[in-house]
Amino acid sequence: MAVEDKVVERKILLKRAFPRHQLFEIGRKLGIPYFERFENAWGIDEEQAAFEIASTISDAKLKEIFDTHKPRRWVVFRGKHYTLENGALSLEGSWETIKSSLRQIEKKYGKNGLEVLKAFLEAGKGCGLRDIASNLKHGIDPAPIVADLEKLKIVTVSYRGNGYKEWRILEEASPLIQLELGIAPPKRAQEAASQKTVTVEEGEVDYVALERQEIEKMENELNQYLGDLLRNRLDATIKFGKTFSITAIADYLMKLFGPVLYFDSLLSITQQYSLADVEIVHERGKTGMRTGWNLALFGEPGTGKSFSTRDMILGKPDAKIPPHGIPGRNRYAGGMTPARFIRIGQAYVGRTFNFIVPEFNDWFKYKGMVEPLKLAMERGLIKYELHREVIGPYKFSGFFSVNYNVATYGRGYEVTIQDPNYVAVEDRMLCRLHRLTKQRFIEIAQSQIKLAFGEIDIEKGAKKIRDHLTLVYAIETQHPLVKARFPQKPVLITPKAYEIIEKARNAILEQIPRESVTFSARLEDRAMRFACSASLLNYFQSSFDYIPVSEEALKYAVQLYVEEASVRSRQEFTPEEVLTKLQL
Amino acid sequence: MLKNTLVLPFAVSAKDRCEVFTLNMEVAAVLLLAEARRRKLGFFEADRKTVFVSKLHYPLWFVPWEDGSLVIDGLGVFSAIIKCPALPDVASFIEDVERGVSDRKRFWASLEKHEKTFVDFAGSVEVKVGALISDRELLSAVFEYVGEASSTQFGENVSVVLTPPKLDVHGAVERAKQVSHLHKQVQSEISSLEYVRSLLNEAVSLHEQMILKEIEFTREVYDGEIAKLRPTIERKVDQLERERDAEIAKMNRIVENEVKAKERERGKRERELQRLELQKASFVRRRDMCRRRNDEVGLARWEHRIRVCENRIREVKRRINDLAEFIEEARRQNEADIEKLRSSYQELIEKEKSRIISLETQRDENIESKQREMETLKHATAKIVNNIEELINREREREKELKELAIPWRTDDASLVCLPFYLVGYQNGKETQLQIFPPVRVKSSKGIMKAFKKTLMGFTLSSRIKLFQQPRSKALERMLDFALKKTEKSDKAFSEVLRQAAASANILAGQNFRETLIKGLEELKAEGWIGQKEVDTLTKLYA
Repeated sequence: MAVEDKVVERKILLKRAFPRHQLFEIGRKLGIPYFERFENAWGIDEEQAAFEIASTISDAKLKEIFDTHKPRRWVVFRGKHYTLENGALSLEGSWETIKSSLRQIEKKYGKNGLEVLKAFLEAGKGCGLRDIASNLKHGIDPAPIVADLEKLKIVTVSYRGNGYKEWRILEEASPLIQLELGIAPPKRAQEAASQKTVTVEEGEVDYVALERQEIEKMENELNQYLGDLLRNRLDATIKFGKTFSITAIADYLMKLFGPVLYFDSLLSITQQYSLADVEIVHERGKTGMRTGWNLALFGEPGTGKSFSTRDMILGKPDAKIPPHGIPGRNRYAGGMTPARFIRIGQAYVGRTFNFIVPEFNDWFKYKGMVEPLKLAMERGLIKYELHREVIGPYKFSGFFSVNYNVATYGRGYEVTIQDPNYVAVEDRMLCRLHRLTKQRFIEIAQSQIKLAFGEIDIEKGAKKIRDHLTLVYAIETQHPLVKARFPQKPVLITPKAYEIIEKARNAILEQIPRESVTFSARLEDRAMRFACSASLLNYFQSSFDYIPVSEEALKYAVQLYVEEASVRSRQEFTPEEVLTKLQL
Repeated sequence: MLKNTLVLPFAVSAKDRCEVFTLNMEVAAVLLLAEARRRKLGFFEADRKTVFVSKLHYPLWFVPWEDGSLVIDGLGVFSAIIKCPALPDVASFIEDVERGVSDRKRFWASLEKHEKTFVDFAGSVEVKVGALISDRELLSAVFEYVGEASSTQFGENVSVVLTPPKLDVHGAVERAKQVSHLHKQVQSEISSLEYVRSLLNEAVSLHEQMILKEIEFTREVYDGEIAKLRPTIERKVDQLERERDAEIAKMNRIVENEVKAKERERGKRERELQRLELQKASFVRRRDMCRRRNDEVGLARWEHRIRVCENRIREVKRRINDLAEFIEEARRQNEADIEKLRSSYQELIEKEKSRIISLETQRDENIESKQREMETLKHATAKIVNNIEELINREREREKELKELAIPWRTDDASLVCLPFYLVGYQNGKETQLQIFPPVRVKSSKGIMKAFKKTLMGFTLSSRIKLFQQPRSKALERMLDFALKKTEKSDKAFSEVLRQAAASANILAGQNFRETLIKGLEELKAEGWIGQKEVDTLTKLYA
């Protein structure tokens, strides 16, 4: 982690301290292959150039670079590992100084000082006094606080106009301030938590601290994967992304698993795209919706649920199945008790991870766990009170991808909905319900044979999809390695999207002879979110500053909507009838 | 011989010529021209004769570059001078603009500092690219020649006698690299100018956004102050108005009280006047009765009473008049006092209101000044951007010129193109005088015969031959003449090697020369180029 931290810091430092022609000169001098691709400095991507240099050099080399090439005297850098002021580089960080400055601010201004800093962090860019004041309680004057923050070098002036000033928190100091304010899991808080956390059922082991180590590993995994991708496969991934779509991925999966089985894996991979939790907008503004959704596959054992949610995402080397999911963003929760989940959830505050739970039905068996689980599925504020301690309250911001085993005995929906927890899950997750039909059985059996005989080679396809998924995720979550190079784009719902869903709804309702319907209107919301997530696959195809919902994605969303409506309507109509009518 | 060698044909048939122009004819025609030339020089004496007629090849290197080839002179006689303007200090500009992005005052300073930076290039240098052929006419002639001879394929093991080249393939590639380097430099300069243009545009658009933000901020600050002040002001104005109205009411009340008393008195007086008027009338009636009765005493008494009554009426009227005047004056004075009071209060009210107006004016002026600043900023930037664009256009023009140095003929590798010519040596005593015959284009004999049916044989031999075969390009002719003669004179070693080459390629000393010549002359005669007499003369001389 520290190594990756350093690379990120070095990258920011180099980019800030040197203009592009100097970066080019440095890169050429170091013989970095990236720079050989360019005839001159003007074609390089400054972000990539800085990253290439940063990931090649050591601290000693960095110092040498700063000694040889004159850095900009007017820039400052106050990182964890490096400090640059008045053109002089120090290999010692400024975080300790900033930390003590933060204490001073806290001491002098209390909550108000921290509120001002929070406002800066939330803005993520330069803020004027007016912007800060609008985030504070009425009557608090931010001017003296900001003046002190500037004096103590916690913020710097980011713009000086005519009688107008803006400040910002330096990018490299932002993680520290986030930690200190508890916006991201703070180290100090971590230490404190490790002292405070007392387990009831599971002895004296500090599961939160352990989980933080796990998170650190996962963060590292993502950073390393992304770094490698940016260094070696960026152009290829962008090129791949120009033609990639939900149809392409569906074709890929259909070829591998057949026309029935593919859909579960399609849902699983699309859910991975949704994890970026991108804002969904319409032509006139925000919808209040985001792309993230939970996935629940209901069905009898052996219907391929675990394969889709676990093996396809995390990979199964023994079965020659490479991972398709985002590296370091999927926490496998197999064998975990819900109590432990609720406890370790504290380590995930402010982070969006996907929890893969293979036996979700088991979690509901624990007494008193239904409510916190419901809250977790809603991404709400979790508080769990035990006789010796209280866990939380904390805000859980992760997602789930779960299997829910039900014995349907050929009757499908009836048995499932009799499960008292089904409504709770259906309300909060995109549910897919299926039985072990003959067709499904044949496809599973065939896939197993193909895999056993090595007829299925998904290595290459999986790598490309994973690269694309990781890059889109990094862009949409503003990962520091790509933040400055690719814009974050919201997904735009077009009027046509509503029109298509409405058409599907009318077609379904026409098929139901009764006055009442047996499925929830949430199905439509899930279908729309699915379409928006699937549209993220088109990131590199959109030249706008948004991604319009693609017609292909809508096609699959409608299919999902119709099929699920059919299952929930006790198959009063066949999906094919409606889909044919809709000409999809 | 190099792997990629293209030997161009000396004589290329024009489009209208269908007959084959044989090598025999080529040799015979050259000899005829050489002989005509010898005679023209006055070499009739036996010791001044043609010593060699050699078919040599001038080496030209075609080095692939971009979509064409650069033509490099194998003898290195020619060179190109390329003017390279020096770019203004882009690095300093970038630094100043980037620094000014977060500070508008500094940005203004950098705009002022660089107002003239991009007006022109910062000077220029001339780069000499040795052996590069840059003459447009010559390049076009070479390209046309190569195009016409396109049926002739590149190949190896081609046996020709070359004018000894001074530049090998590596030397030629090195020269071409110089052009490529210059081209890259131009491209880099264009990119740098485009970069600074976009940097400047981005910086100014950021400042524009910030000015708009400032305007918004200023508006909000002033509006906030105004909103804060307005209730106080309104309260004060209201208070003043109330005070004013109370005072006016008080003044009116006092005046009205006074006026009312006077009006009451006036009424009383008027009633008194009325009574007196009636009394007077009664007295007048009684006096008149006394007068009719001649009652002198009574007459005197009523006369007296009438006078008393009239006196009293006069007094009362005067009093009524005084009272009316008083009332009028009191009211007028009151009105004037009220007006004075009103205006003094109005002044106070205006003074209060002016605090808001002053703030509104300040706000509007402030906003206007920022809007003006934005316009000025845009204008100042546009000026620099225009200058940058002008430089970009000039650089593009340069790039185009550089690209025009290449002929649109692309080979995969550097190739040797052998450009044929005949070198004829005339001996004049101890000296040998050289004559070059450049490549020719051969016309259709039928066409010429048709046009000059009767007059053709009246032409001199040289003119006649030139009708049938013409040097293909003046530029090529000039090039060969200049390059060979200049080098031959200035470079003794080259002269020696050239003569050795000429000796080795001397067709007069060839084994089949006689047969070739006779066949050639017969073929030329058959096409009507020459007559039997000329055949005989040349046969006698050479065969």
